[in-house]
Amino acid sequence: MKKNESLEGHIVVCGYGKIGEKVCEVLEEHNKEYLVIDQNSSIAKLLMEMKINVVEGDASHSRVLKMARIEKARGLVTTFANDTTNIFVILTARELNQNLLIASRAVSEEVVSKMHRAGASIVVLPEVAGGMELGRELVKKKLKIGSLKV
Amino acid sequence: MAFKWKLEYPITFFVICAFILSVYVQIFVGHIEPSIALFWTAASIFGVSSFYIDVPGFYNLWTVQLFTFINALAYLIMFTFVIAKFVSILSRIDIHTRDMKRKIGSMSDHVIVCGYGKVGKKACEILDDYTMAYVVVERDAKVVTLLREMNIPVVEGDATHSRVLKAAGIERAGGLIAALDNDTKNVYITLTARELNQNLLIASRAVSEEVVSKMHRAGAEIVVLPNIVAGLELGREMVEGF
Repeated sequence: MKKNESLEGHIVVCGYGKIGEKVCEVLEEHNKEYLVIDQNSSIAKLLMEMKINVVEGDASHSRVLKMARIEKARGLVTTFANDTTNIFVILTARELNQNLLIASRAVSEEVVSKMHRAGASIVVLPEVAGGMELGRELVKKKLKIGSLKV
Repeated sequence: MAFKWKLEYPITFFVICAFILSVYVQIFVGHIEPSIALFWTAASIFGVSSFYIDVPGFYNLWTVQLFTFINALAYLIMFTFVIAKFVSILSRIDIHTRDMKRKIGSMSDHVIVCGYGKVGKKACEILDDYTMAYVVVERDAKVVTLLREMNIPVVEGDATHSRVLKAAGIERAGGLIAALDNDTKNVYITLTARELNQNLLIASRAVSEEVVSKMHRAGAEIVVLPNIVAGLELGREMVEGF
């Protein structure tokens, strides 16, 4: 594990919930350097014990993002359950680093275009996608159709 | 309620007083025959305006003239009160809930969607696309009101209670979607639903990966992990982006 101060070309993951955890797993698999920002001190402590780079704090503060060396980072993933927070983090990060590749979670569909405008290149909607999958799979089995086009 | 029921007593009292006083005054002050006094009072209090007493000089008596006004007032108050009470009774009949109950009662082979959050809403949209009938079970009263306004069949209550599921017609249903964001509750709903109906097709949302096998064992045919899928997608897109 590198020190936080020496990280370069890393990916910043904001929020270590279910989604953040999975993102980190994928990044680990592909041997990417990453750093987690989480507000919860017990989660931060746990991550430190797991030898994962972590910054404890609110990701919507630019100071916390700077502590995560956002200027030297290559990517940013925001996984908060709150659309407003995600957009704010994206805007702050985009201001601090123009070349960042930003991926974000969104809860509501209306917010997708706003996120793209704020600077996110990838937007994923877990709840909406999950709801669609639940509905589609049920309809598929119920109507006994092999494949469904929606 | 807009109308106070306690008004019943003073109004009844006033009308009875007016009646007795009117008859009494006509007989003892106006010296009219008791049968005519009674008849005239009844007619004037109950608003029979076409009624006419064929006694010479009857309408010139001051008692009659005075009590025409008093009885008319009693009639007006009584009439207003009866109308108000009638409207109040009408407004208390909840036509919508009854309608909904009948609608759900007549459904069969429908889908029950537990929880109308982001996931449940999207699932309902898909069901709408395929014109499948569904009933929503939701705990939040605000969401329930909204759904009622949208004319979507809805049962208010906690989906983990078998009584609520029965109200949604689980015995006649063809499918169930457990879309709550709590794994324990979703497993519980799956178990309850499977107990109540063996032929049900159950789809459940799961938050954690460990719970998938438990859900399958509980009786869910389809298990979807929105958060895990999204996390994988975000991570993969990020990796591929470089």
